[in-house]
Amino acid sequence: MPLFSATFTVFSVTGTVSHGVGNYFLSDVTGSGTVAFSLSGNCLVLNGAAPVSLVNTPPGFIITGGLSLSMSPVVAFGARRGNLSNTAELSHFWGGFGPESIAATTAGVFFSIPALNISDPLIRVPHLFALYQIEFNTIRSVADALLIAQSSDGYILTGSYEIVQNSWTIDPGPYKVGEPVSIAAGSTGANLSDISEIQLVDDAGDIHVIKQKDFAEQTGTLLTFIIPPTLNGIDGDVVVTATGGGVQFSGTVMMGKFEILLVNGSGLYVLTAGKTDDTIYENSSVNNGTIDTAIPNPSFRTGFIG
Amino acid sequence: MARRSQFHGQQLHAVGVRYRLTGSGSFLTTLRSLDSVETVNLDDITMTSVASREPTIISNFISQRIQLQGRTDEINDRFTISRIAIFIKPISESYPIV
Repeated sequence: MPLFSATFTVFSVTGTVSHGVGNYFLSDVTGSGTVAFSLSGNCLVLNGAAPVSLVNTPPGFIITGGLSLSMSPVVAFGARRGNLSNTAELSHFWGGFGPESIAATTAGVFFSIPALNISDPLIRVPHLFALYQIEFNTIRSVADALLIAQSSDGYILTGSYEIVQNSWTIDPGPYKVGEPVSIAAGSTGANLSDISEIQLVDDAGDIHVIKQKDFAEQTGTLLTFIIPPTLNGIDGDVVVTATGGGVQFSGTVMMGKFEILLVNGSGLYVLTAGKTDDTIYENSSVNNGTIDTAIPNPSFRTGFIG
Repeated sequence: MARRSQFHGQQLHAVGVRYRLTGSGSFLTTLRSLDSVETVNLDDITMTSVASREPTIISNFISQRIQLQGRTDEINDRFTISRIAIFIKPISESYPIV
């Protein structure tokens, strides 16, 4: 059974948290803040192969179990203050995967590594995209300086995976928000009628869910959905995952990716004799060129005869 | 003032449309009834920049009043029409109340 490992790195630090050598500190006793980790860059090693980014995970990737979270180097995930004594007040120390989190309810020098949500063998792949987040928000009644958490950026998630043996293709685009995106079954005959949900994961790790009732079209060989307006402002690759009902696959499977092009038109419309298309002037973070698009259905109608 | 039609509520049978047409791309023709309740898409015409012939598209469309729509739907398609002939014959006098 092939094994994977994925390395979390610091995504952002907010609030009154400061970064020391391998550690994060609260700047004052009443401060609060968040250290967020994510899987970014070439973070994923599949069966010993060269590291790849999540965006480039092969279609059909599904986690099957055996998950565990560790750190490299092996340093306990913990919280302490000053001289490592009197940690009884450190009772509001939160961490967790994805939208859920757990509290370290047992005060002590060290807390165990948060394990909730990663013990499920059918962990939803989008959870891997979500941020692993630690909040330092209510550490009370501590008089002296605080030293908080964790000594290394290197959280490592390991487990087993499979590549679902069906094939499908997604036109990589680029698309604009509101346009349809189609997933077409490949020659191996993947049945797309069993998909109950599509998740779109943007480059910030946010998950945009499209329920089955909102699909524009769904047959065994073709599934079409509209890019929802919640992706407005996104400019770049979007990863598509799908949740199956057990016929073709169970759990959540990587389907592929497409690109959203953020187009911020100028609003000027110039009439040019003989021009047979419209030109949109881009104002995006990656390109300031132009895009030629079709004039929407140029047509005429006669009056009624009769 | 618009010219009064020679047809007065008769059922009309459109059997063809002829164009004097140049351009590029495909030209699409649709015949419609009042309020577009019934429509029919006729064969497309592949346009050329010059043309020595005026092609006729056959149709089989019956309605009390008939409207013709022409259009293109691909980027950079263009058309120039200088003549349209619609072949129509009345086939019944009026439309009864059912």
